[in-house]
Amino acid sequence: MAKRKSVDRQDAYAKITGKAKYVNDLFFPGMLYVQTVRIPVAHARIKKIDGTEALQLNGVVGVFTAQDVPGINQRPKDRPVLAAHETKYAGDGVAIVVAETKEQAILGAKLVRIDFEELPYVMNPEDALKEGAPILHGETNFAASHQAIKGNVEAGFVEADLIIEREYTTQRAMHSAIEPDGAIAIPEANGILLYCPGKGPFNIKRAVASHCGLHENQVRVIQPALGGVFGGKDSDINVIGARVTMAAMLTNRPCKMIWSREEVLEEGTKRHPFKLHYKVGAKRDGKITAMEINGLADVGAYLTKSAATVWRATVEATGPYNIENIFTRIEGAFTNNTVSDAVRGFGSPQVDFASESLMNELAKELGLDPLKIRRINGFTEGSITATGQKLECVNLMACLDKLEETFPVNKKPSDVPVGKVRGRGISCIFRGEAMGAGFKEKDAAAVNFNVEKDGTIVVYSGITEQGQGGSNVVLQIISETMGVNIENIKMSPLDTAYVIDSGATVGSRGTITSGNAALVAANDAKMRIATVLAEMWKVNPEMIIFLDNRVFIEDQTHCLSFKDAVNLCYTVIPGVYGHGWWSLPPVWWDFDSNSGETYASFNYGACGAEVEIDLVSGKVEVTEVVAIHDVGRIINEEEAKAQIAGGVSMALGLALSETIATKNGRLVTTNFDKYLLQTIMDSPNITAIPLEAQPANNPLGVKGVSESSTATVSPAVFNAIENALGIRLRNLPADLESVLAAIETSERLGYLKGGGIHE
Amino acid sequence: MNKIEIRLKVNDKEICMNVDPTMTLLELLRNKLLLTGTKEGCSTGECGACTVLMDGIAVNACLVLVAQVNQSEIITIEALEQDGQLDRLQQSFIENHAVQCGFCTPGMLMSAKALLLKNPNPTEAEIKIGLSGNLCRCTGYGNIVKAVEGAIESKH
Repeated sequence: MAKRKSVDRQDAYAKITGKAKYVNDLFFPGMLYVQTVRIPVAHARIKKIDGTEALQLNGVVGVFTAQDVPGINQRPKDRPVLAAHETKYAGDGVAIVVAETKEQAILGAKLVRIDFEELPYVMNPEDALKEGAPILHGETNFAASHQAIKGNVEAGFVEADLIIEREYTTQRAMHSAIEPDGAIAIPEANGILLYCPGKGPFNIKRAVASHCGLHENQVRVIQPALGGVFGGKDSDINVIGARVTMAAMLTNRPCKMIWSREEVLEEGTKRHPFKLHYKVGAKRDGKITAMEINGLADVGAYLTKSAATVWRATVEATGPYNIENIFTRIEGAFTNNTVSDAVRGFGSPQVDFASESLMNELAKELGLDPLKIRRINGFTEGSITATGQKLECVNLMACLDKLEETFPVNKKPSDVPVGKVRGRGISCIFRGEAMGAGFKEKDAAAVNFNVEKDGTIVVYSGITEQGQGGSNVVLQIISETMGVNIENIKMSPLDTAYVIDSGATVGSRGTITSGNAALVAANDAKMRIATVLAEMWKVNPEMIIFLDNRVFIEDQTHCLSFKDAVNLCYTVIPGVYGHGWWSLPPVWWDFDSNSGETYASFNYGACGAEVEIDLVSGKVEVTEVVAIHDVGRIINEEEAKAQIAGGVSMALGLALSETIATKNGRLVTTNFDKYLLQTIMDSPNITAIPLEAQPANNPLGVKGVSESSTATVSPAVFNAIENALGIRLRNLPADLESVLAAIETSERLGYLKGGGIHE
Repeated sequence: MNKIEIRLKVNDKEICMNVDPTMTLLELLRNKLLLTGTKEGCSTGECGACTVLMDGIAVNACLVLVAQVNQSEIITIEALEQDGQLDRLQQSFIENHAVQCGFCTPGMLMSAKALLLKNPNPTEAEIKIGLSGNLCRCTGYGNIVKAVEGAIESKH
């Protein structure tokens, strides 16, 4: 197939004109505002909640607590709609105040009197597993554990010429969509209409129905425009959706809740911090003989999807390397920190930071080139992973070849200003695609569409448009398969009343599932039309060509505009439409034997980063990033590049500036003045390369594109820092304090800092 | 609290209103004038999603009190497209794939507009400074810089 042209995005027009409606842009007659009430300590026993004073305030309509939640408030270990007896972190909601205006709701929340007893708290997962630690759920703070065992790790270490052990830590970070989370619930005769921006609208429907005592068919979720997700708008949006729904049910009026930025940070879920201990053994020639990994993740106050995050990390913890003898165990523990949940990358960035830092450390000990050690050990076709899975469509070496070509790692930096040093580093990755065996649901999506009598098409897809350009991929596939201009095809807003449950838009599964489903649907509609025309034209349906808004046979003896062809079909068949499902091949995991087919496919990538470090301030400036990602086949090249570049930018925040900090059990990073995202001034020259090597094993040949670039950047940056300073940093992020502290330990750097002149 | 009377021009329309003096320009635009194209991301002037033009200068509408806009002229994202014709910046944002989730986009466009009004031929460094108050979590900024460069007058 010829290379596809990049296509402009259909959703862009509404977004550049201010016409796109996000949830906070919606207003309904009689709408009330909902404010959450919290207890400002990390762990507390609730003795009494008194809303009397708040209810006396003008405009306050109701004060509701856990007792008012109409359905199941909380499942074991999971987040409650409102904490009933005990709060487990400072962000836990304990009551909601519902009022005529937002200001009244906020004021009312301050007047809710809570009698509580402060309980001992634990903010570190290691402490949480110690004897005598305050217990968050049940008998123990132990929350999750997964293992991957291959060969005999002890025997592997005996074979090794060199063994090194290193420890790495990753920080708590946030998805930080610029749109704060929120939802609106509208009571209707037969249930609730919920305007709710989330990556899993069907999950929201189920969660809200369960929390609010409704049947699933009584909750209808309409998705407004989504102002960014990055792994968020998931567990948080379920809680928000349930709070506005209970408020709407109890007041019988539309109810809106939009979190302030401070609330997003205080209550919202975060990326799991990991502590990872690696032991690796290798022969002198660089061949790894054994790897042992022990990790501990901070799950925070409730479980959410931590077991799945830890599982993915366990599957990928060795990095993309052929190793005969492996022992990996990663555990998770509850703490009184904010809840850890999905963030773009879902466990991969943590283990990739560690394993790719380790590869450079090993290469240095062995006196090997960092690219060479990756080539010696890297996955190739048919390699067996830590979980015993045989790999297909392996494109790691193609990524490393491209890296060598575009980012010579040993290139000596030129023109380094006085008082600064430069360095270059690389990394690579393999990453499981889509849901994988860590989740039980069938990994499938549906795309359906109607062909209107004027020849235009309206499409219904369950995969959400959250900024990634996923909707356009579906439109593009239908357009090229049906031979209809993309301008004539529209994506319908996602409404669970009409759209088939296609799972959540997570795990970089959108293009794989809905792209292939769109192909099935388009072929279905084509066959429907071709069957009608073939009978009239007395030809075989396969002879009919769909191209350039026309339907014809090759010798042009029969030719109709697409519109006329459709009109004709409407006189013969009951409707003109396309229905398509596509599922990933089944995967499985046996938790007893710790083996299985973890993911149906994997993507590969490689990254290079150059840094310039100011020896006086410790500031690390990333000057260049090259990010190469195996995407199978490219659907929309510019958008694929944009996804990669966006992942790089988010990962630079992880590498350099973003940390959720707490003091005495409470968050101190409560807005963007302290939680530091990358700005345009920080943004380096990013070369994003979506690579077409071997296609993936699905009809479109596509792989996921949105997440791997968030994982490869921080190790490449840390390897570059080591290259520049000669000092290895092992704790994310490389902020001013940690880099400066490292510089101050080095005599050589002190010399360079003074411009190379001895004092 | 006593309301105050303010007169201002918003998107070429004369407006006279009695408003609470503690109200911000952002609340006036979004809640009273229903111009919801201007977004609220942090309410503290950190993210730039609420950027509008006030007398030709980019401001964070969340940090401006309504009393300050008396006798001013405000232009919001809704007025960038004129008579069905996209502003060159808007067109360039589409062509350069500078839009993803779109939440920062109105603010980003208004900062870029303010920059080009003041400096029709900015360098890459000047573009970055001009947009340094606007956070974008999606793009990594590269395509946004390209989009502004694509809208520079001398390049047409």
